[in-house]
Amino acid sequence: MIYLTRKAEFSAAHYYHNPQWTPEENMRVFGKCANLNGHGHNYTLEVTVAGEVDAVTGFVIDLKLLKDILSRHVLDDFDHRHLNKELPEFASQLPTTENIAVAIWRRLASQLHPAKLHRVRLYEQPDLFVDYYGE
Amino acid sequence: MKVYLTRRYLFSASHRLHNPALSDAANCETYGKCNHPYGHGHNYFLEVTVSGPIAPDTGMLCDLAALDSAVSREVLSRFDHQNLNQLQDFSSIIPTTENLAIQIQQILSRTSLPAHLEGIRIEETSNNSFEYAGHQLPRSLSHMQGVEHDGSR
Repeated sequence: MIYLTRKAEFSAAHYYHNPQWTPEENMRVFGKCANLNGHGHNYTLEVTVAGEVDAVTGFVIDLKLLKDILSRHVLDDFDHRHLNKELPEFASQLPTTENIAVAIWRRLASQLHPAKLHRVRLYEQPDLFVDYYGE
Repeated sequence: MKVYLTRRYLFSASHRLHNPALSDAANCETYGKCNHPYGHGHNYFLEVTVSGPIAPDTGMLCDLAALDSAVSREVLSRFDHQNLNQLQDFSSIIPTTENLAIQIQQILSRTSLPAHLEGIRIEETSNNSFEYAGHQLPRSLSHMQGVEHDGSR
């Protein structure tokens, strides 16, 4: 088994707001992230796939194919978008880094055959990242 | 559903690697320039990884401010701008980054954190980093368990 990681970046806006809470509660829990005008980040996404090296190509997965899959299933929808307002996943849940990582996993997990998705790592900032292994 | 969240912190400290049980020549041989008599320092980057389910009402694993506050209070304030050799933590052990990693993991494992502590990783320089997760394998190396298992069959 070998593990291959491809990195990509996207920039998006979001805010945190639980409509079942008062403005005061939202502000207390989410602080400046609760500003309904939103704010943005440059997210760095690392997608790790696991698999055996193909005897003919020497690849775990064709990197160009992986890049195309990332673009088609993630970046085209996420980059330069407002996550709360434009992504179906976040119509009913908050676009936290945790939930974005899970959403990206669900978009990619079935697309990488015969390799397997091993990990989605999403950096919101250089000092904060989330890992999701599909567990 | 389980996610892992890692937060990165910075602290600066000095140390000297020296074992008083060894001769000066043996210390020099073992530790090289890290044995220079007056010590030296590093900017240490500490990564703390916690894990657990996502809370449905916040969409978050845990309160980041609470994590920052605990790490700052228990670790950063203890080590930042200190000479590690002078601290009680290193009164009988050498302040290598291996031992520093173990100390920090043990401190955090005794600390009330807003999510389960998975382990820590510490960079002494951009070329050296150390991971410690107590008795378990660090998450980044956990796929090795399968490799070891396969190899033992």
